[in-house]
Amino acid sequence: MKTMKICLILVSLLLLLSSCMESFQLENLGVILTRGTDITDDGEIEVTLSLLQFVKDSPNVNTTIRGKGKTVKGAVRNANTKTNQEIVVGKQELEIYGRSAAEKGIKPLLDTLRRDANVPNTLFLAISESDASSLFNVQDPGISANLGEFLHGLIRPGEEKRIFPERSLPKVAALINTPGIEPTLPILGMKEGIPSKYGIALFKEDKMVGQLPLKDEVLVQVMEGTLREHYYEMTIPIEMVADYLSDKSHAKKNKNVNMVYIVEKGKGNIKLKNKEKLQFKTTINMLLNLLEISESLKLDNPEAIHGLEKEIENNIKKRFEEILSIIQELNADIFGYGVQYRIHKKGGELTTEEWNRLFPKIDVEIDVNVKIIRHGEVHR
Amino acid sequence: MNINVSIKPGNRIRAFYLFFIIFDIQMGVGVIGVPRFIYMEAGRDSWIAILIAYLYIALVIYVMFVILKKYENTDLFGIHADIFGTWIGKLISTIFIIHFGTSFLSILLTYTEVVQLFAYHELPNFAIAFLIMLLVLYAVFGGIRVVVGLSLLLFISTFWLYFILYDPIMRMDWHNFLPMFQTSIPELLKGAKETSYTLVGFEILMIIYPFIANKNKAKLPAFLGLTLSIFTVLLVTTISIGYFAAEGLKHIDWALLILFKSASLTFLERLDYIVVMVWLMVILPNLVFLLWAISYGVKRVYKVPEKITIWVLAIFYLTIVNFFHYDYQIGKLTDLIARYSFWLIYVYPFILLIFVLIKKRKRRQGSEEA
Repeated sequence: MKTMKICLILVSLLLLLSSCMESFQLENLGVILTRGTDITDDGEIEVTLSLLQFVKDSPNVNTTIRGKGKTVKGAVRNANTKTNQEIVVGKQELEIYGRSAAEKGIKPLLDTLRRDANVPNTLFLAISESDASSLFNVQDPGISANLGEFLHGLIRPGEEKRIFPERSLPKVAALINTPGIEPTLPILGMKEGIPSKYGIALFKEDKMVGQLPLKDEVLVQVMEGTLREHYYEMTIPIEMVADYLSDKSHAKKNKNVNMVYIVEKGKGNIKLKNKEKLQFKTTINMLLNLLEISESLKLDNPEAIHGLEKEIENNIKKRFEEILSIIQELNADIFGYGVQYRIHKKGGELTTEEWNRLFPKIDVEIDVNVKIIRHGEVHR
Repeated sequence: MNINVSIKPGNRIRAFYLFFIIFDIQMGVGVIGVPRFIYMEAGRDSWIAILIAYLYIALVIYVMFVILKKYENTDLFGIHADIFGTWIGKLISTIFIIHFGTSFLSILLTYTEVVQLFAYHELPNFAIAFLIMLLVLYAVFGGIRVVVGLSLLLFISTFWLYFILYDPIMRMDWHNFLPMFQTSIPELLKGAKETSYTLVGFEILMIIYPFIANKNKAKLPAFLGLTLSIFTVLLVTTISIGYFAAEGLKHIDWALLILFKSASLTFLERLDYIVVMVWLMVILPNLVFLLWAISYGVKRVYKVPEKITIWVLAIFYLTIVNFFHYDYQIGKLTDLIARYSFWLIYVYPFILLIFVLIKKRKRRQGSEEA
């Protein structure tokens, strides 16, 4: 009987104690899916929130609201005054920074994401081609009804792909802090009224300093690690493969050959050849699978395949050299040559200042190996 | 005070359980934040520092076994009484009891802080401490066999936490470990020393030893328990170095919980909320063992019944947690424990060994002369 009494007291205490916690009801919550952050001309932070709402009988699950403030959280609070729900960050999937905010530096804006334990680490970061808020002005009813998910889907089309343009918060925060390598982020922009992938933003520490067109994502990805199953479109001049054309008269009619491949497996590698002279060697290996080609080539002839491979190698090499000169001019080492330099340096320490001084001077030898291992059901 | 203790057969435990006891008491709140401390000292070669700590602790445990083997069936308190006499013995035993008491407080406070940081920031210290104390008291009142059984059960039910780390492992940057072997030996030793707060707790061996039924088989499970703890610390530190940037890791307080945040399942997006709550199961054996050790020690040294000690302590802890509000207060407490427990747990057993050997030799000489 005595134990029963004690148990009863304890159970009733547990019931009372549960009211110590704040309760969250789904209907009373506005769940941020995507947030756009801009810095206005007067230095204030403006956020645009795409909220998931669970309102009965409402056709749209998404609403977009805006708020202004001196801090990111302050701006969100300000936005909260315009809705009857409590805004929570626990399921935020994407954070988009406006271009001007990114050029000023995203470190102050990242602080709240790193500090707040409620912000998930699976959050992705992206840059807007103009103001982040412009991405939320979508008229298309099919998209605007679920805009937050749509924007996230642009960055991550499927689960667990781990490919560009997916950039998670911890990864970016780590790269900003690592000397010898700089982060890249995807750029989203409006094309015909619909938000789309636009390009690749190049960063110098936390500041955006330049951009590359979207088609270079293959090379950026290959240098990051193994790339699998990715489309790669390229154009080469027709005279380079004129010998292998099925119909040689086409060589006069058309100027270029356009083709699309699937990169079955691509891998980039950086080696330091000479530390004093800052000589590096970059090797890119790719296995390709031809999907489409605008000219009929004699692909049953191994020579034709090798000739084509050679042209593709030259093409990739040329583009990589162009990218290198761009990033050397911006002094933004997105491929991480500095990491290799640090590893081979005595003591293994490299400061950002030191690498800033050295990176524009580095000399890179590029070696591209391409194998076209499949060309589909037909060979001409 | 009797030097040797006789334990009723019903209260004895199999040596096999030492594996769970050693592992459970070493794993607690310390492992959440330890990567930062080791990294600050030993840098990229932190894994070597942890291996050094492994060898050293294995040696300490071996020394503890040597000391315990010299007696018929006793514990740390009995040895103190035998070597140093009643008064000094009592004093040193009391230092150990206070060590257990402060460890208990720091674990309770740190976990409270984690819950407030990750889940319920408005929940007062008292409410969290009260709920935890209910469980702890329930287990401790059950006696030694319940305490040990609990540790086995919670080990099994928290083992899956390892598998969540698959995600951060895949996101690691292995370049962060290169170049290897650049850290100097003193830095490595300092790094090894930084493990002290996380890895202390194995001194429970010297308290629980008389309860072990088959003592000749006690060594292997104890060393295996230590090995698993070291493996866990090594795993967490290695992943943290690969996952965070060098500069970043120096400022990250709760590395392990952030690693858990990285994983996400399609049906369960925020795994970290569950992990924070499950972590209660990881720290519960710590608290239970410590409170049991305190109550047992007070009974051995001062002959105060266990029940009184436990109730007094429960009230004491529930009062004192309300006075800790700042993060840095808890940090300071942890720091203090880390500093003195290095001397008390890592160094003291060797001193004790010397005394025990001298005493035993004298006694043998004395008996030979007689």
